[in-house]
Amino acid sequence: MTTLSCNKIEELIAKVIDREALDWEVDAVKTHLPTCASCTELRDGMIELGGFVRSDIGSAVANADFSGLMAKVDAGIDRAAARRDSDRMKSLLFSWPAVTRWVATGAVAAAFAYALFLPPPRDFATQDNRIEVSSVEGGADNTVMIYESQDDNVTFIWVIEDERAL
Amino acid sequence: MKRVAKFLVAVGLLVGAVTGGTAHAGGAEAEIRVRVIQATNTGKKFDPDLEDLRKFLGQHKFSSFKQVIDERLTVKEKETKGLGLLSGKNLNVTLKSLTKEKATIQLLLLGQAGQILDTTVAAGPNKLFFIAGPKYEEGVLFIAIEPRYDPDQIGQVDVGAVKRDDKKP
Repeated sequence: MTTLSCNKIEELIAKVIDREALDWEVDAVKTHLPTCASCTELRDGMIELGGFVRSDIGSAVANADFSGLMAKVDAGIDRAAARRDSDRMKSLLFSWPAVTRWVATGAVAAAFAYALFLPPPRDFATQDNRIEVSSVEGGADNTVMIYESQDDNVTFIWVIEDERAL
Repeated sequence: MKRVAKFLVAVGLLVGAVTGGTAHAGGAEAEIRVRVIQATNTGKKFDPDLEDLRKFLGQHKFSSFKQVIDERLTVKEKETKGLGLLSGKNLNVTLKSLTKEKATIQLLLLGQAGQILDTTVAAGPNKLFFIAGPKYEEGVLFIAIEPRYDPDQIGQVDVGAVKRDDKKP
C-alpha cells in the first residue's frame, strides 16, 4: 500500500474527481482520506464546486437552441471550401509558375502568328526577274556589259576590270 | 480578373508588335537586300545560304561561291545608303523613286581608285539582279540586289518617274 503526503494526495484528489487517476492513485486517496480531515474537507469542497459547474453547464445546455447549429456548420464548411478554391485559382493564374506559363504560352502564340504572317520564301528561279537598266557607266579603266538571260529572266551587270577575271 | 485582362492586352500588344513590325511604317521606303558573294576557283563549295541563287550563279565558270555579306538596307525615297564591301570597295544605293510597279535605284560602286560602276535600274518589287565582276582576291564578287517592298503600301504611281525613264534612249 502506498502512503503519500498530504501535498501529493491533494494533487491526486483532483485527478480522482475528474476520473483521470490510475487505480493505485484512487487506492492511495481512499486509504488516506479516512485518516486526514483536511484532505477530506478538500475533497468535499472540490466535489461541491464541480457540482456547481456541472449544474450550470447542464442548465445552459438545456436552455440552448441548437436548431441552427448544423446549418452554421455547413455554411462554415462551404466558406472554407470557397476560400480554398479561390486560393487555388489565384495560385493557378497569378503565381510565378503560372505567370511564366502564361508568358511561354504568349511567346508561342506570338511566334505562331509571326510565322503565319511571314511571306513565303521567294523562288527566284521561277519568277520573272526582268528589270530596266536606264543608265550605266563604268569607271575609267572598266568596261561594263549588261547580260540579260532570256531563259533565266535575270540581269547581270558585268564590270570587267580585267578580262582575265572572266 | 483585371490582372487577366491586363495580361491578355499585353500579349495582344506583343503579337501586334511582332506581326505589325513587318508592315510598312508609312512613307515611301524600300528594303534593299544586298548579298555579296565571293566566287573563286579555289576548292569546290557552294554556300548553302545561296541555294536560292544557285540557278544563276551555277552557270558561271567558278567552282566556289561563298556569301560574305548579307545586308538589308532600308532606304527612303531620295535617300542614299552606303555599304562597305571587301577590299576598300563601297556600294552607294540611292532610291530615286518608288512606285507600285518599280523601285528606281541608282547604284554607285566605288573602288580605291575611283568609280567602278554607276548605274540606274528600275526593278519591280522582289525582283533580283546582279552586279558582277569586281575583283577580289583570286576571284570576283557577285552582288545580288533585291528591292523588297509591298506595292500595296505605296500610295500613288510616280508618273514623273515613268516619263523620265521613257525619255532615255
